[in-house]
Amino acid sequence: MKLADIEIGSTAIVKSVADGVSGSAAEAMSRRLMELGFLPGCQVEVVHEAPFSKNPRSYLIRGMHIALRNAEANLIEVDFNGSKSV
Amino acid sequence: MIAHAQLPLIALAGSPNAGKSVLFNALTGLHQKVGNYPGVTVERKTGNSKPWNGKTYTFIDLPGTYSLDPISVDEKIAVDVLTGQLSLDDQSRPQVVVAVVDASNLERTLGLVLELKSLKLPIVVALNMMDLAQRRHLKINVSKLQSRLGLPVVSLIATKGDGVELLLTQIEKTLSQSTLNLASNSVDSQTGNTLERPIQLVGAHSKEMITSRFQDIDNLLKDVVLEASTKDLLTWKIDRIVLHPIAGSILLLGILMVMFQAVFTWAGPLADGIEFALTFLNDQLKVQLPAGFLTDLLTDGVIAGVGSVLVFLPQIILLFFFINILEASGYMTRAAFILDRFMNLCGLQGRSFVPLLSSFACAIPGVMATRSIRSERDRLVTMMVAPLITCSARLPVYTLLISAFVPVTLVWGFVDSRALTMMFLFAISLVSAFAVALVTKFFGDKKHVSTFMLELPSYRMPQWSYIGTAIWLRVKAFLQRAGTIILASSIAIWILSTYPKAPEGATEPGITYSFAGKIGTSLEPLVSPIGFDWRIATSLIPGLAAREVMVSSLATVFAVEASADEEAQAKSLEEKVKLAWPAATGFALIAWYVFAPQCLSTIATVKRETGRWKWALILTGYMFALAWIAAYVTFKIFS
Repeated sequence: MKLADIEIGSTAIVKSVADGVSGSAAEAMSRRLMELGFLPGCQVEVVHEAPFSKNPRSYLIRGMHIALRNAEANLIEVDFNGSKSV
Repeated sequence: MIAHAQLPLIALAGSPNAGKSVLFNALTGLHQKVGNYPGVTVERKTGNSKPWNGKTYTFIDLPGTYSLDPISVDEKIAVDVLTGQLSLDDQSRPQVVVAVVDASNLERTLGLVLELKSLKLPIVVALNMMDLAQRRHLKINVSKLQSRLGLPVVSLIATKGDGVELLLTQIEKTLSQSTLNLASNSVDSQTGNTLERPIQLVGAHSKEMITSRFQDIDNLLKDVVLEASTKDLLTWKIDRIVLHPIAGSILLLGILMVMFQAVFTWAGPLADGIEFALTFLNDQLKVQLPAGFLTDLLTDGVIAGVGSVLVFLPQIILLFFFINILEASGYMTRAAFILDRFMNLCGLQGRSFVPLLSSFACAIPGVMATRSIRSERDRLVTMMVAPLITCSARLPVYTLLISAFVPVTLVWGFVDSRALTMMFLFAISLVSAFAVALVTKFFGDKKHVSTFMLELPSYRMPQWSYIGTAIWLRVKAFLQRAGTIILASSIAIWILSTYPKAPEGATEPGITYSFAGKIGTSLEPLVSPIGFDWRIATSLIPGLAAREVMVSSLATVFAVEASADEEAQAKSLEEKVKLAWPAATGFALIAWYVFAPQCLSTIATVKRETGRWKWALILTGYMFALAWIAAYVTFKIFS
């Protein structure tokens, strides 16, 4: 399951972050995502989504609130962890 | 090779949103200098601290970076300064690094501190935002953190200035220790020069490095931070409204509307006050001083010209006031979040939002701010459209013309028609910027994907002294411009529109015989299809120096034209304009200013940033073409 597929209000556990071709933009992006804390075993909560399109969406990870477009969130493989009653 | 006269250079480093700039402001106050890094145009802020224990330091506010493995130009600058690859003012490297961390989010911000240790520079950790940590009910054991890091830690609330003196004391201590070390090292000739040599970094970080860094942080923070809660409840509650798909969009629109209403209506009384004072001064000077060349130059040239621009100072202050509050409170990133979808549709990205927003102040910092965009193509497109955004130099032009030609009514019972027109013009500028970006999409690489990654920081009460300083720096720049470019062009325009004098028995007003009149009349055929007369044609040329100069030039032209007629002279520029032109001309001139590249500095900046004339010329060409067409259509519609 990709992070972009997780419903708003739910949480997930990061499984892996796609590597991408070395030296490519995707590779730099996944490195940065890991530096921000998207590492295997970490819990992510899907918090908000932008109007009309559900893209970008915002996530809570390691106490940080960060917005990602779904293209970036799709680099992150996750396991569904449960929905939160808000 | 540290020059003796120089103050010790202290660098502020840290992750984005750790509060570096606020701390920098608390340390340096009004003694800051804004410039560029050598070779690149990333904004560089340096400033000397207030003396503390008789010591003063030079601080440099480095661009925020998440790690020492940079992925954008501004991050690379921070790394290069720290490693000594980029030398500043003959100091090869900073002598002390203040690592600014966010106490409310140590997990995220401590990683950089651990990396900084590899640089072998003396480090002082500034544990900032202690108030936010308190809001999140975090208890931090500072002495434990200090011993685990092996670095001195100073607790701070930079927004209130708490702890700044402790930080300065610690810097002094660290500095004297490191000079001692250096002195003892220099006995050993092998290590004596370590501080002078650039340091090589490991390069791109591997997955394993990043993982182990987070493990280090987790170990380090064990029983340093107690009673951790993951959420900042206040921010959480605010975001439920601000980021709500419907409520949030309405709120964004509402905020923009209040902003423009305020810029237009609140500034009115202040502007009237300035105008009254200037008219009074002008009248007094004409009465008190002997009639002649110098008096005319001073009154019709300098005061009419510079004064007509000074009147807009209250509006510019208000605009910056709002932009700064939105930025300092943390709202701006939310606006970027809401608007990203729209930006994406046009082939821009969320990061283009900040340069575009800066362009509301001035396109030059906007074009420079594109440096933070990683994709070369996205950066170029953003640069090409940023000058379309309504900059503050257009405000004087719009205000004059709107006041003269838009009838005052209340729309929907509460919105001032003038404010609404102004908002419409801002909206048009955004729409056209997006439209042009969309057009470029068809020319470039179709497979190009732009990215967006934006941290949404906790909400904070804006710190008034910080906002005050930010506004003051802008006002200072504006006044400097009024005192130089605008003053010089006002004098030049006055001379050109006064000489040569009208011949004996002339029937037309004197100005028609002057150089300015002749230049204007010869240009008139070019601009008459779009409804412009010779006065506008004359003013457009000095208006290339800066948009607001058009207003001061018009003021001078009208003042000289009316100099023989006392009744006409008593009228304000607004009244003169209203009498001289049909509404269609007024609106066509507004339309011209929405698009025209009436600013040589912006064009020069684009040339410098892209390194080629090609893009600067394309920019100039397409903007003039759009301006002419827009003015033509507007003129035809209204006449």
